[in-house]
Amino acid sequence: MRLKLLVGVAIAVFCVFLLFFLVEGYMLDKPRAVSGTATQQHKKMIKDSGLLDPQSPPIMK
Amino acid sequence: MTFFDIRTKLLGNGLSPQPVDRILSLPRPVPYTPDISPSSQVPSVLTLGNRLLGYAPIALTGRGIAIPKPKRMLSGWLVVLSSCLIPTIVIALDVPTRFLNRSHTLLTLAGICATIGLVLYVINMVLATRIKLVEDLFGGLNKVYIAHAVTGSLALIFILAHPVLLAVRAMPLGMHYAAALFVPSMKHLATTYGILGTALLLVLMIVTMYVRLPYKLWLLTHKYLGLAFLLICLHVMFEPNDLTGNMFMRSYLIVCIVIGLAAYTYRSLLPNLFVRRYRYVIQSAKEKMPGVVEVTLKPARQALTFEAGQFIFVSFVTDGLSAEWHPFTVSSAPDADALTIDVKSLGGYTRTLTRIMPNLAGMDVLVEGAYGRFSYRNVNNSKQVWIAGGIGITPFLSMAQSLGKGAYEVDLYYTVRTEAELIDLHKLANLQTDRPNQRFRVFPFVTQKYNRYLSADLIAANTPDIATRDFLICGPTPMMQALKSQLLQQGVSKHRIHTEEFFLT
Repeated sequence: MRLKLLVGVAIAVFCVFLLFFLVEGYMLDKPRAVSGTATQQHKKMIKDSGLLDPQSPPIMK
Repeated sequence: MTFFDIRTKLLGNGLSPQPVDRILSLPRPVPYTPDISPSSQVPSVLTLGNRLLGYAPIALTGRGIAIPKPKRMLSGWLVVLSSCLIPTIVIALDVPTRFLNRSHTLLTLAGICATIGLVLYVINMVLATRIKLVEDLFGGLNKVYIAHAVTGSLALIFILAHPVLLAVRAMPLGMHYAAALFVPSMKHLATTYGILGTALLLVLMIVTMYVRLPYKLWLLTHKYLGLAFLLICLHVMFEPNDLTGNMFMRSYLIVCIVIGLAAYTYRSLLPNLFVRRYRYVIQSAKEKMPGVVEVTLKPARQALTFEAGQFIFVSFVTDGLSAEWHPFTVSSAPDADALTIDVKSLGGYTRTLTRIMPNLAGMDVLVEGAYGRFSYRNVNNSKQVWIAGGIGITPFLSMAQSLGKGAYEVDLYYTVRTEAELIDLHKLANLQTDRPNQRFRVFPFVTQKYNRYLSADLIAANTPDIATRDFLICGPTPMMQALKSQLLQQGVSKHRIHTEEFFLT
């Protein structure tokens, strides 16, 4: 019973995050880097993060 | 202890006073119980008394209570814990910049969650194989299945945490990047495998844990967990990441994946090829009471070996029944020529089975096992109390028939709702003995008759020095939980209480 509750809470939290990211990402926030409207600072942040270059993650650099 | 001692003890313990006649009918060993009415299944007190006074032959065929076996449950969980901790420590320490800033910390935590999730998933699949090693580690298949449920649930939680942490890490770049981690895309196949694997795992776990499906359908959905595992493995293998830069981690993950796939192939994909099964023939099937059928099986070729108290999985191959595998405890002695199981109508499958069973003599069945560690032989104490609730009597039937020549002092409390539910009381009564160093007594307890449940107080009133005895309990879960907590209150150490959950879900 406690296990079911724990898993239920985890699934609920995940669903809240999922909804938040999908709504924010696809309905409210436009992909600035893709649309070419990103600021220089934003572009630098993306570059530094390594998120767009999965072959060389930041930690291994 | 006299009737009045029992009464005094009960009243002295603050239990609600009861009419004297009710107190007088509290449980006593079968031969001396004046209020068990003779019936087709319950022999008359006189008959039983005569037989026992003359010490009817007792089956001294087993090997006795002699072999102490260590408790292994802890070592099973130690293996689980160390399998998760070792990679966690390696990941945390292999690169000094792991926790350098927010981004690195979140990436590291996401990697750790993914690794622990995968390891737990693999352990979960290994536990489902029912191999002897895991049974030895956890101390019985029922405990293995508890660990199976726990590791599966934890695996889901860690796997769900992985994309959430990565998305939180990506938030400063823009919510679109965070959201993209949850949306499958043909451009990033490796990520898509992970997304689909996680989604499938999530759906199947919800179905497994929260949706009441017929067993056959539930089993089918459970098999697709292998597909979710395969997708997650593809994600681990092909998604570029900073964990596999470490040689140890690369090898560890590959070994985990291989073990997981092997376990899935062994138990779910090709069980007929790898799992040892025995062919038996139904010799007879007779109704012991409404809803309970005793099935006697003869080996077609080789017979399986088992310990008293163990259970087997049986698949009945006949029209009108699906060839599912269901667990049944063996109620016959290990050295008997035939294998006997008592099938109680508890669910859809067993209901159909008990209905058609009397017509199935001569039919082939497949048997797998034996499993379980619930036996008096696994308890290093010759003084024991056995407590059976309803159909939970079956392991004790086998144990009682195999009590050996060594020293033992065993009291069996057999509780049922109505008198008609007492099965094989006659057989048990004939096995009673009262010799120096060898005592086996049976206390039937009919709850409807006494208008109360069997309790630790009643047991303490009939069985001396309960704190020094080991308790073996098998019955409905609420009964086991209630008795366990009462026994703990009576001063019995929790290490002396052994339970068998016969609902393997």
